[in-house]
Amino acid sequence: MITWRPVVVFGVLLLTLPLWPLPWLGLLLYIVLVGVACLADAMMAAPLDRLTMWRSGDKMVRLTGTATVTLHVRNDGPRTLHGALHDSWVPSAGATPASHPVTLPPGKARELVTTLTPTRRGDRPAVRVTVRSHGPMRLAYRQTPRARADKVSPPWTLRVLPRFDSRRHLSEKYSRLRVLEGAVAARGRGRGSEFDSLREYVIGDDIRSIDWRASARRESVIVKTWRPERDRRVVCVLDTGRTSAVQVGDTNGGGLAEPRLDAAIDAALLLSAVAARAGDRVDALAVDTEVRAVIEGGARRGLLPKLVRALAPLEPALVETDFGLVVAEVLKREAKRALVVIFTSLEPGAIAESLLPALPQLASRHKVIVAAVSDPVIARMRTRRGYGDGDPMDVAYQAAAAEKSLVERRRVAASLVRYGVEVVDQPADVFASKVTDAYLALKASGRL
Amino acid sequence: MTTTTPPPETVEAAPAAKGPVKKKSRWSKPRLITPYAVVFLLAILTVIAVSVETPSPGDEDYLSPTATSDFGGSVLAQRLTERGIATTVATNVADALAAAGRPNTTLFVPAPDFVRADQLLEMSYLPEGTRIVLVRPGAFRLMALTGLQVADSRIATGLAEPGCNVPEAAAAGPAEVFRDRYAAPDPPKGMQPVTIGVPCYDGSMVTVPSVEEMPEIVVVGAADPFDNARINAAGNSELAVGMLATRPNLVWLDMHASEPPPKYDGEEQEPDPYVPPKASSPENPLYKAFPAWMWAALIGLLIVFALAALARGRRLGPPVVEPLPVQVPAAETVYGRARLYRRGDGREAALSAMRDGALHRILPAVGLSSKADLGQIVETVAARAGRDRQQVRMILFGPPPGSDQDLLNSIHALDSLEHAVLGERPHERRHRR
Repeated sequence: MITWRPVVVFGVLLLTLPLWPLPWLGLLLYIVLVGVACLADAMMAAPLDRLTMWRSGDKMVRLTGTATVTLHVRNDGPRTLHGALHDSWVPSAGATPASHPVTLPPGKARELVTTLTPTRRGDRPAVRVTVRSHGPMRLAYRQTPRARADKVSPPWTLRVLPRFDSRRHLSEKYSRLRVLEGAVAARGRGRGSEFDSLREYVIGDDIRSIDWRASARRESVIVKTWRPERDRRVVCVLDTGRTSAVQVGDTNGGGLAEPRLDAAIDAALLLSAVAARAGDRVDALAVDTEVRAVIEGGARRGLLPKLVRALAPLEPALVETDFGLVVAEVLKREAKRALVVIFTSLEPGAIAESLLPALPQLASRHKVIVAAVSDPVIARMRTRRGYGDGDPMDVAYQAAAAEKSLVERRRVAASLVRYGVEVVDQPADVFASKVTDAYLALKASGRL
Repeated sequence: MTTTTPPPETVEAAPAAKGPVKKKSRWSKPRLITPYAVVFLLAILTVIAVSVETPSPGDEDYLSPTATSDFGGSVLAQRLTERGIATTVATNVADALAAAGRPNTTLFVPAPDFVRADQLLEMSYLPEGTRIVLVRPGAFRLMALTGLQVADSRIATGLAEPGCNVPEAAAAGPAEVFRDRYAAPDPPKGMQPVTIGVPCYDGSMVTVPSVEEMPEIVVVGAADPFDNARINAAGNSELAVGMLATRPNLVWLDMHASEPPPKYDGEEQEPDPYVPPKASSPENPLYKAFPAWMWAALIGLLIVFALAALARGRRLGPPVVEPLPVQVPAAETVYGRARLYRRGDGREAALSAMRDGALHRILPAVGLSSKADLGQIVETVAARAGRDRQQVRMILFGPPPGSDQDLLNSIHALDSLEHAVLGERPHERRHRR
């Protein structure tokens, strides 16, 4: 294919046509001249099939962060490559620059750095590398055809991890956990029901925790110390069905509307971090009509990165979640009593038809929390009646519809509570914190 | 975050659902298409060749008594003169009809499709002893004059045996007239098929004898026996001359274009001055007005544009496609339900939902359970809000609203009652979470 140069050259040559005695002959000559020059130039361009390409760089980045991936190119051909190289990534990878100018003598290698600022969670693949090789006169070029470019491009995938905004709650939750464990000075003994150790009485200790038998064996008064149970099991179940695709949050208030699934992932991460710190074992499942991801948190150390990596590529699917499958999976995996936190939505259809029939089986073996993100938009719609701009009837009906959906949510929540299930129904901004609070409350009261 | 470790093996991420990989076969398509393309090309070439070779009745030379080219009829005209036939050449239908008015005349029409329908009628009023010879008439003219139909048509002329006892055919023997075949139309159901005229040469020459003072009509299915190129082949010459020499006079209608339709005011038809002369202008005068280099430069400019399009046309790599995640707008179902209420005038449902919600917030505030009975609720709420009992009953459990305004009023009343019980001002609560 040709560049701008032959166009300009041909245009300039055209200006000399009046000088020709036979202008048609001149035109023909020019056409042949320019055509042959372009052809020769394309022939002399560096061959494209003698390039070797590979990549190195970041494999993972947190959403809103920036990663760099380096594309290495080596010219194994006999001629110097002059041209450009386009490193195509999917649009949501936010790759810059799109193309690099390249001059590559034979046998030399170059590193081309692409900076990626992804706009979405999940796996962001590099798609193809297209190389354009100009001839020595820059009249024409060769370019890798698409099919071949697809074949020779070195693959690379950047995993974009969830933002984990609720990290900011971590220190607060950890400090509450330390209070629970009795590791910091606080009024009252370390709460919990599991015996920890014996130590000497100091003023301020609860006299109810004096171990008289041990005191009798020693000269001094000995108290028992307690700590919360350890090695409990927590299972986070993420519903990736159709209800998880619904966005929650205000967009008109300047906030970011994110799918329910992202709020659930955020909350699951916070809960897992806190539970891992508390010495509990955390597993996670992502299910809709099939199991999308399974994370078994064997080792406590490194659980969070593992969880983040595994949850990053999850995406909502437009299917109805099969809670029968959820219950079967949990019962299969958890032999011991565990805390099962189901991140879903309080939608009457999905809950009543699928979750309620399977729930008794689950609730009899495990402690169940159903955590649902509620939408602040609906709460605002309900109270906006009478004050909204626009048709008063529209506002009234919207308020009624919002009220109706809240009534239905409450009804669903009430039916869940009847099975001994705890329901956390909170707006997205405090959701993760509230779910973790529910866990801490259970832990404090020794009901895990 | 620079990590290059592979994901741990305990993590089983289910693979993303992907469509089946499209498999493109590179060679099967051309292999499938090629034979068809070859056959199609051959067919096209044949049709073009035949249509170029076949003379058209619109040509000036076509069966003209003066034309000496291959399509002309000069040889035939000469042989007729040798037979002592008085040939009158007419170039329009009016002249031909006037000349054929004499008894014992043959009217030879080589291009009957240029004769207008009204002139056709006049033709059939020619005297009884007249013979009209038509060469390859179209379906309409054929039907109008003889009642025959074109039974089938070949792409080229073939040789045929006479197979009849019409004297000129029998005398000529086999001749090249077998191209269009003529036959009577199929009879309606239950009727016997009829024969019109005497078919010779397998139906490609039909002689319709004179009936009821109409002239005798001969239809010939090919032009080959008459033209200069083929007249000497087989029995062509005998057939053509014999067909046209049965009467001492011959009127040859040498016409190669349709005549303009007549004017209807009864005046004598004048030659139409507005019909442009059919002359090909040899050269556009504009071409001479500019120097040759300008035309060359103009063409060159077009090439420059084409080159510029080529230079701009190719991207450095095609655009990349990406599957987008499913996203459902916030509170979509709530807005949908509100629209349904609005469309269906669901005032009753809307108000009952509002009452449910209000009761849910009011009852705990006044210390009642949701199972409290109606009278108790009304009494407690009225006492707390300082309102009339009947009014509270109407607000909380009144009849469904009758009009839109009723609904707005009821909602408003419900709001104010709720605020009275909960001790909040509406605008305060609006800004609270």
